[in-house]
Amino acid sequence: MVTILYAGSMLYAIYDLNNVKYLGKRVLTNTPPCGAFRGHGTVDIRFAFESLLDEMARALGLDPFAVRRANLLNAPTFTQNDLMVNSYGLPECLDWVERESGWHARLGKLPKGKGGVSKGLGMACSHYISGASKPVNWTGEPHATVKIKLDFDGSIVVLSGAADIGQGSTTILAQSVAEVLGLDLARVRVVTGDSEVVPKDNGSYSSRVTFMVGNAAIDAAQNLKAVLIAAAARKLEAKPGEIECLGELYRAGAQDKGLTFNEVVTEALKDTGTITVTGNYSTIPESHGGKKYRGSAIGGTMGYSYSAQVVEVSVDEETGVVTVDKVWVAHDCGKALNRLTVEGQVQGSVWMGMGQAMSEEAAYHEGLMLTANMLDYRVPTIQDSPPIEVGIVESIDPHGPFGAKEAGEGSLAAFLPALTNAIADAVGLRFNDLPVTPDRVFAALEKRARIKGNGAKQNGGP
Amino acid sequence: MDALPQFDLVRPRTLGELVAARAAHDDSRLIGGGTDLMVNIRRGIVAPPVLIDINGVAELRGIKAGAQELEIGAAATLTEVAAHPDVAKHYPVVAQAAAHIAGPTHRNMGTVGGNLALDTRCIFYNQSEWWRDANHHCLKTTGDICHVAPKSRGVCFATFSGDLAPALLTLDAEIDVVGPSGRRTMPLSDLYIGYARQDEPVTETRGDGKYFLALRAGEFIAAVRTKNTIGLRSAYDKIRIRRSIEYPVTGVAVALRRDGDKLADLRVAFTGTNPRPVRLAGTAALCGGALDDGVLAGLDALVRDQIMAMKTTFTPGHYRRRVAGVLARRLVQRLFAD
Repeated sequence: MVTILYAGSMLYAIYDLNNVKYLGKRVLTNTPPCGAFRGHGTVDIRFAFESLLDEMARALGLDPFAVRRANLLNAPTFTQNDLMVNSYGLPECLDWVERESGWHARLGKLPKGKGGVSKGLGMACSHYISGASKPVNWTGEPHATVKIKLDFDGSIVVLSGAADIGQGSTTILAQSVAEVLGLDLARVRVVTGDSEVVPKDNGSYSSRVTFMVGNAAIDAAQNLKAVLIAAAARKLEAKPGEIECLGELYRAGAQDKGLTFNEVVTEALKDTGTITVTGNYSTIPESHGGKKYRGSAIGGTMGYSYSAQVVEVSVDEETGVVTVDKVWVAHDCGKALNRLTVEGQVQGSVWMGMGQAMSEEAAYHEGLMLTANMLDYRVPTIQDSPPIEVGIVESIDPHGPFGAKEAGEGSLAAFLPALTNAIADAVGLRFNDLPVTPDRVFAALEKRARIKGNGAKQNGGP
Repeated sequence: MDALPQFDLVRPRTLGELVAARAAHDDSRLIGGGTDLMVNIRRGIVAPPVLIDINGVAELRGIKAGAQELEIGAAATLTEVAAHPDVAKHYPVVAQAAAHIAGPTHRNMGTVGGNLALDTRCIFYNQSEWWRDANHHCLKTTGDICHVAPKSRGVCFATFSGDLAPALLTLDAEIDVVGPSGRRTMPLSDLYIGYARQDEPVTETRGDGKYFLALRAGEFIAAVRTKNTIGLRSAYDKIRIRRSIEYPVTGVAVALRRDGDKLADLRVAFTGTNPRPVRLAGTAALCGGALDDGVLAGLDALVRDQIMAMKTTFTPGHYRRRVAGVLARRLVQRLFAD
């Protein structure tokens, strides 16, 4: 249900669209219940939309990059359905993939039919939310709460309910706290997931953790810093406003010898013992949608990530086997708090899109799932992975933690249409049914040959 | 059904102990790497009360790869075969086929004997017990219908998917089979009896997807052997949807000899299509002349005539049959040109 709404609402948040007609239908089936998946609400519809854009550009003889550029949003802005867009790195994403892939120099010049194999290039764009701005719980609680515990030995423990599901969010929380306090990462430990100890978190979904829990962690760290500065001021007989925090050194002016971090901690704990501070984060009402547009609360976020992708493929026209030779992907994550994590997340998104586009399929026989195992439900292996070049675009979001936005989902959706657009470039056939398995490609090639053959016969050919 | 039913594990140290253990336990199954058998046990397809582990039997483990003759014990692993420099040098089709099987971890565990005797596969068979039950089972287990071909009149069409068999068939390999009445040697081609003919009853020498191996009660494969042919060039290739951890959509082995500009000998074998690995019949008629379009068309005609891929996999039979011909043609052209 949410996916249907998201798919419609978020159509507005990537290009400058003034008129959208969108019809969503719910169909009751007896197949297994479904749930949210990476790129939730953007993937299938982006596949359809970017495929149509490509088809249109081809039919009109337009450069697909130019088509996107002519329809960019003018951020900061509110979209026609009242979605708030502050930072918008899509233009830079387009520039990066266009340049790095050598698009204009190579398009139309790749080998065709050599040894039965034709090559092609395709491109597409996508976007995603950094968490839904409207809270899932309507209790008035903040979106995210983080606690930090400081003890006598100077150890800093960050307590968060946000589960690291492999995306690296625990590292980001540690980094955020260390950055605010000016301390080495080794001083910070993070405890997550143990609900007896940590504050409740809304969960690791819709790419909300870095943005929301990260902001809450920054807030908590700032609160802790204020306590430490107050303690240093007491000890140094200065006003808090005069204290300069250099992480391991707190001093009142450049001439002051100052206090070490541990001395400040000792002073801070003198009367209270172990200190615990809280940090919160709540989205701003402007991101919740207004009354102007019904349904504007859906798809709203504090910051959208943007992605552009170019895919190069080889299509074996005798066997139907499609090989992804290379992927160039640029992702606007606002600010890369950890470049390695961002690269890994973007590559993972591409890879997961590759699974949906090329090999993963839920097939049924009279309602019984045929592919309910890891052999037949073909998640790609490292053998299937092409080289994936990642370009990081930093648009510095005004509300993001240090300017950051999501990096874990937004690059999935663009892969699917970029792939089929590349196949269309290679062999002139468009695939609307996924995955594009060799047998589907083969059947389409065979059908085209048959139609051509019939045409030739009608025209008096052989 | 338990996740893994109870069974006893017997670990013989010699071939004699193995034969005795096999004779003592009628319902026993041999286990090498278990990459095929354990999956089927977990799915409730088979539930042998006794498993006999062949890995401790030294007589079954060797690989003798000389320029004249190749002999591989049934317990040699697929990794050992794929990585053996002399197998790759003198019998490239065998090393290539081994290297194409599943993924590295499967090849580390899986054995030559297990791959040669690999159970036939079908989308209606390789499913969990509750799935098969909900689908009223099938001929290959306890049911009375083949869901692939409901009018098959008792014939099972489950597909043979081992990669080594077609490679070794192109080399005219023979196997040693050991059982209660001793050791016998037979052509590898005689092992595979999955003809699945609807016009004749299943017998000891003509079977289907269910009765696909010509092994008598208590018999097992001990070794596979082949002789080298001077000037023979060989190679293996297969189509996969995913490039690792995947059974062949279609696998093709080709061995040929070239005499000047003439094709002197041509052997082609397939897997992943029929209930048996198919060594293409009639290729001798294509030899003796240049490798021209006529020969290639003749090859394709033989493939279309003998390759019968049914709806036993997600990938349609029509596709598997057609790409079998494409792969065969490409390998023939490549080997001829080398």
